[in-house]
Amino acid sequence: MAVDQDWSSVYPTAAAFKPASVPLPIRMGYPVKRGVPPPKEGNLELIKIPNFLHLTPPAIKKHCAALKDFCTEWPSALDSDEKCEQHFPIEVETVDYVSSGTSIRNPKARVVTLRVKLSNLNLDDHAKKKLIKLVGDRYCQETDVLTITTDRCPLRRQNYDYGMHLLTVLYHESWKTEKWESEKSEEDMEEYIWENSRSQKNALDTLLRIKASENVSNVTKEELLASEVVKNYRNSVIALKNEGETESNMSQYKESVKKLLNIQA
Amino acid sequence: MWGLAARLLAAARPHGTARPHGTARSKQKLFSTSSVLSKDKDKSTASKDSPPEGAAKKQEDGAETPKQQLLDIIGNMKVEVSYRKKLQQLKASENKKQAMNKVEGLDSEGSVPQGITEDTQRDKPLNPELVKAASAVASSLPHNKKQIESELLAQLRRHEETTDKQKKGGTINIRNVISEMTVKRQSPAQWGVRISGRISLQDEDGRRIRPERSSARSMDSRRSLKVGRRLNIFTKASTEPEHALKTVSSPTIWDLEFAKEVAAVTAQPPRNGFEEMIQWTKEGILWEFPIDNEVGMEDDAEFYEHIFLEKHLEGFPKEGPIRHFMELVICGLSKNPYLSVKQKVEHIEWFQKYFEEKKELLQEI
Repeated sequence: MAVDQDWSSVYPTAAAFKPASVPLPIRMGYPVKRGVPPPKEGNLELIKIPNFLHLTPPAIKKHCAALKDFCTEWPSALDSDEKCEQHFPIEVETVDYVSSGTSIRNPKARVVTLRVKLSNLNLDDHAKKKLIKLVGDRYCQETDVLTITTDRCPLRRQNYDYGMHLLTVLYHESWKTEKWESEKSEEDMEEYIWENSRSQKNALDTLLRIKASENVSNVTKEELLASEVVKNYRNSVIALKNEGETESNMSQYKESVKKLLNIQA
Repeated sequence: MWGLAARLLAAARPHGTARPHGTARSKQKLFSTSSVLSKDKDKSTASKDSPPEGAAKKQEDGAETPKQQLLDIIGNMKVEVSYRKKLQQLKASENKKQAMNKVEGLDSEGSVPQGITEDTQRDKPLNPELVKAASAVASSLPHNKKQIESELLAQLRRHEETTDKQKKGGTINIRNVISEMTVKRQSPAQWGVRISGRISLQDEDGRRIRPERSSARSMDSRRSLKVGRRLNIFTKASTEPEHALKTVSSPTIWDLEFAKEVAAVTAQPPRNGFEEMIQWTKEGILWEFPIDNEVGMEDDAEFYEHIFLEKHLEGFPKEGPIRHFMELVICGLSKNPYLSVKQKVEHIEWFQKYFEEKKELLQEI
């Protein structure tokens, strides 16, 4: 073979190993005793295995150049992930399966997954909480992503339509407020609210009793609530309940309690 | 036959040694020799017999000579029936077992275990909720509860079977593939060439005579010399009657044949791998890329026709066990991607008809 021959025309597509066409001195196989592996001429081991002689880098460059005519350009305005998310907040994922077999059908191909960040949806506080309650496990708290996976219909386009329908219904339903939602109890709450809680009652009772024992004129609840120490206490309790127990939370709580009960330790 | 003899000898040898289990086992093997099926069947039936048999043989071994043992073995061996008969026997016994199971299932009242034992033909049992709902419906209709329940469960099982069949329907049955393949037949002209060629080669004392070569050659080159419309380049033949002929006849079979011949002649074999892949794609041997797994799969229905099936429940009573049962059926159907909308509607209509009949019976009473 001449040195400057075009290799991509010798092996344009996947083909078996032809020892006469490949000018490399390859040896393959188990060596005979005190010998070397057998040479490439008539070497079944080399013919059996799949080779990638048709996919050398220059060949791939040619493939890409040929395919470029069939491609459309990526829109230049979408040059970052954030912009993509801003303009196209819903991500739809479908999978096509390749196999070597007689049938092109694969039942797994009908599955459609929709992903959307709730921050991109126009939801107020009540709607967001209701939506999260409705979808349950499909919402991820850390990444704020709602994932809807549909595979109840036989075709992919039907599953896509169903997924979009579900998203629309969830959005509209979460904005509506039903009558029975007013019966939401403390157990249903997602986060700790200090107003009207036991902690508030206890704190106010204690303070009132302190004041009464000191014979100060009756201070009203509102004044107490508005006072600094109570506000501090409230913040520290909320932080403890919502975020869990950390060093800073605990020390903040300690300080606020000391100030509340006027303990100079 | 040789294997049989070898095993006989092997069994006869260890007569004196205290290996009763070994001999018992080898004798069991002798009973089921050639086919695997017969081995399984005999093991299942013989397993019950083995403890008493083994005990009996233990006593016999010590006392007998090898010859006596051989005779015993031969006497105990079952007559080797042909393989086909054994298969038929097996099938008959299986059918009997299934019939027994069904009868037992019908007699018992329990809902959940009944549903599971009756499924001798399916791998997974019916949804227990569905079965419970079915039994509730059956109990609400006082006439002939067991029959109702069995019919409902049979219909539900039929749903699942069609689902399973259509689930696996993607794999191609080899019979369908072979039935559609046709053996390529050579045209009679080519046969004639072959035969005449053979005959002409040897004629009278092996002298090679080739009288028909010229005409054979013209036939060899696929009749392209003498067949077809004349181009009228050299002869001033009259063109009128040919035009008249053309307008009279629509493309005849010969025209179509000619077109095929021309296409076959002009189609060059592929020069490189890419052209071969193009040809294969045209023939359908290679899939079209980018691969779409649903190519050719038509389903004109929309998603709401598959999932929202409540509108088909209008014929049923609004409350009660029947409604509950039908709602469960609809829930199951809506989650089923292997049935078409028509099949789902047919299922619901079957139930509707069934309950209508039962209502008439009830009102008679």
